[in-house]
Amino acid sequence: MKSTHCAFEEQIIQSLLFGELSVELSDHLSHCEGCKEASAMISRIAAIQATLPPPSAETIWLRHQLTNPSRRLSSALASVYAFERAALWLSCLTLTIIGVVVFGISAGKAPFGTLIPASVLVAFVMTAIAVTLKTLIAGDGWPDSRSSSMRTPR
Amino acid sequence: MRTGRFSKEWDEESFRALHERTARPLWAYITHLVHDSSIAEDIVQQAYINILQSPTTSSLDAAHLKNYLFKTATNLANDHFRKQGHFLSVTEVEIPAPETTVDYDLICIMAELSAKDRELLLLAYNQGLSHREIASILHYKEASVRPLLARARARLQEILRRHGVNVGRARGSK
Repeated sequence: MKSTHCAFEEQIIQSLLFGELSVELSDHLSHCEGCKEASAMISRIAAIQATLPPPSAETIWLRHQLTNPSRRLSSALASVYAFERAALWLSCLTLTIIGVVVFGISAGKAPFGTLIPASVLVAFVMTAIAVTLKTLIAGDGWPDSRSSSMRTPR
Repeated sequence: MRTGRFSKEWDEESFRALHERTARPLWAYITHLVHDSSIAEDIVQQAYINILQSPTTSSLDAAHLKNYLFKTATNLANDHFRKQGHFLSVTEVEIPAPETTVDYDLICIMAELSAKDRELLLLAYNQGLSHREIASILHYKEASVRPLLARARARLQEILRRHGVNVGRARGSK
């Protein structure tokens, strides 16, 4: 099985499929074995066509929308998330203020000096930070719907 | 169906223009690559959806977009072959006659080639893509395309000869 290839082959193919052969290329074609092989092959392979129509643009667009709901979901839920974030920050602020107030009132009066009020303050602040981080890091985990199939009825 | 709200990158009109320009050649290529219209349909749809959902494709020009589309579809077809365990040959595939018209014998015979050879021959001789485009789609070096194409052609001619089909080997006979 011998294969021959020529530097002009690409030009010959493009000319045969999309344009006209120039005199130079035509002359080359009549002498070059590789290009003769290629042109013989083109005449058959280029004629292969699919008779069924391709999937319609409407079907693909619809499937695109169905398989990409995260954008729609995130835009629909944007205000909900904004409210959730505001409520969370307010809660954190309140917790911190309560911690500071408890620390201020009980400082010096508790049996163990400032140890217990300081621990309460640290606990409040750490809880606030932990809740905030958890909310910021958590994703919405939308299920992968890529496998859904929507074929054009034949 | 309004689009802007759902897709910031692509609107429906731009997508329709892309589909109009590329759907038929892509469909012909993939149909003859996988020899199954249902699988080809899934692959073609998924290739377009990948383009629609990629954040960068809307800024590509027409030529790059076509390359990207063919590359994506080829990768999806190869994924399919890999899953089926038929990456190198799909000779066992039954080829339904109604899907193709012009040269049914040639299509059946091409099924005996490896998927890579079919990809090369279809992209070069059916789609008329340049060697640079083929290299980009099939992940080859541009300089490798010419010899690979010649070898694929030789293998096809060998199979054609075995089947007693005259394809006009050299000497100018068609």
